[in-house]
Amino acid sequence: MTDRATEDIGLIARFLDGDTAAFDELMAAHEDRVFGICLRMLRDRDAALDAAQETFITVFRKADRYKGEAAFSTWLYRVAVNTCYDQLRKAKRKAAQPLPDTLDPPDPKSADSFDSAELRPQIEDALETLPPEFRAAVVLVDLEGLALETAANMLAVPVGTVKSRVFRGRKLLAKELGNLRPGSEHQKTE
Amino acid sequence: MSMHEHDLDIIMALADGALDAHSAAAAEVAACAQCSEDLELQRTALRATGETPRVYLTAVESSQLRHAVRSRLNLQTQGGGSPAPTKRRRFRLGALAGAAAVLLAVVIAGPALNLFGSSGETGDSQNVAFAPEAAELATAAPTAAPTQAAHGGAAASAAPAPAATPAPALAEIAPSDAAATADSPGEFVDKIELDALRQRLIGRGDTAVEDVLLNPAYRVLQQYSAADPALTSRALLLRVLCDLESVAVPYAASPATIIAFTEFEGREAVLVLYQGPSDEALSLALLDATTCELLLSA
Repeated sequence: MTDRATEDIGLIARFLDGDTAAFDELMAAHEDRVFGICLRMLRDRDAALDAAQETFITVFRKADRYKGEAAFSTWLYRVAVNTCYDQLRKAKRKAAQPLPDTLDPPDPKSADSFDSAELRPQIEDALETLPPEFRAAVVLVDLEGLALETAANMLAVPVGTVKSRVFRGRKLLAKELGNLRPGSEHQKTE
Repeated sequence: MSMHEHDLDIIMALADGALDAHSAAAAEVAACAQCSEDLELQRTALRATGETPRVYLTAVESSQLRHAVRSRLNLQTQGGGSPAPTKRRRFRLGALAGAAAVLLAVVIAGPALNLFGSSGETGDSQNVAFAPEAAELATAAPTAAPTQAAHGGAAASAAPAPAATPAPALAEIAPSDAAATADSPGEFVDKIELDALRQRLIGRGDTAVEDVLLNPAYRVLQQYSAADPALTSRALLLRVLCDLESVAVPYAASPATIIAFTEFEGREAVLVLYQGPSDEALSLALLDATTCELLLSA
């Protein structure tokens, strides 16, 4: 178990004992990655913040059930991915309605865009075309740099499944990126 | 060597076990058109995703997120330890100092260049033009803090708490200027006692510190990249305690950005930049650093 994982176990225990400083430390350690996963899954900063909020609330409310058998981060990020799946499903159900303005790419002039490291719009667009399961695998492995085994634990699927999803996700992503290139056949036909 | 001979060489090398694992895999992929195409697609995707930087919450978002989670979990806002400041915040405050340096230079040179429509006596800070309403506005009632609603999603507004305890002295909040080093300007913020700072800001919610210090500053900061560690001082950082959001400034539409700490008529003063109603419009204000009285605006 890594130092981070060991430290997290201690922090969870302290949090359960009522130590709110432990809450801050856990948030500080994981909020960026949780938010990053959510942003890359959902594309929209506000939606990602909502999902991150739901994720942390779920995890802290159920913290007493955490047994320390797997890394806290694995559990946390799994909840984050599942929360994003839920949001995507809800968004799909509302697909017949006009898209809200907030789905626009962030305004680069906005205060929040300062060093916020948004994805490039083309990659964002391409990622959005992937089925959620493929997107999650690519986000976790290629964008968040997690090992296949870790991603498999987070997604609660076998390693081979993650490998397959990453492989197929990358293929779709590359093809979509080719299509999104200015002057590509895809764009010409639209 | 013909293609056929090349293939034969590969096949023989593979059969002989003469290739290492990587070379063998490369050879096998090369011999398969579909595999080669797949490999190229994998590389294309990896290049694209590899170029993307990591995503970070802004300091304001981080604060809002924690506040919202705390609220919904019914955790006490105070009493816990302060979160360790992140590198990101240090960087930003370093940049803030840089921006302040540049803007201070502009403002100091402003009268000489007649930037603010002065009456002609260059080099005297009193030449900064008074806005007509400045005198009345200096005593105007505080306005509502406007920055909390930046994110309708995660940001839950903090219910103002009544001020029940005396505000900590500045010395309790931050060490002296000597603790700031020239080569690590942004590190200074690490030394600020956030809980003490929040007590000074009680009634404004615990996200206000980051809001006032950082949020409206980013747009401005992007225009100025020079860094000047000399402006990294407790005075600069702690002028936030003037509760800038409640100082009404003509034509200002947003809370303020601390620009510089300076002197005016022998008084410690803080120079503040307010965002106007449009992106282009900016207002400058000079506040007394002790009383937070609005001295000048332009």
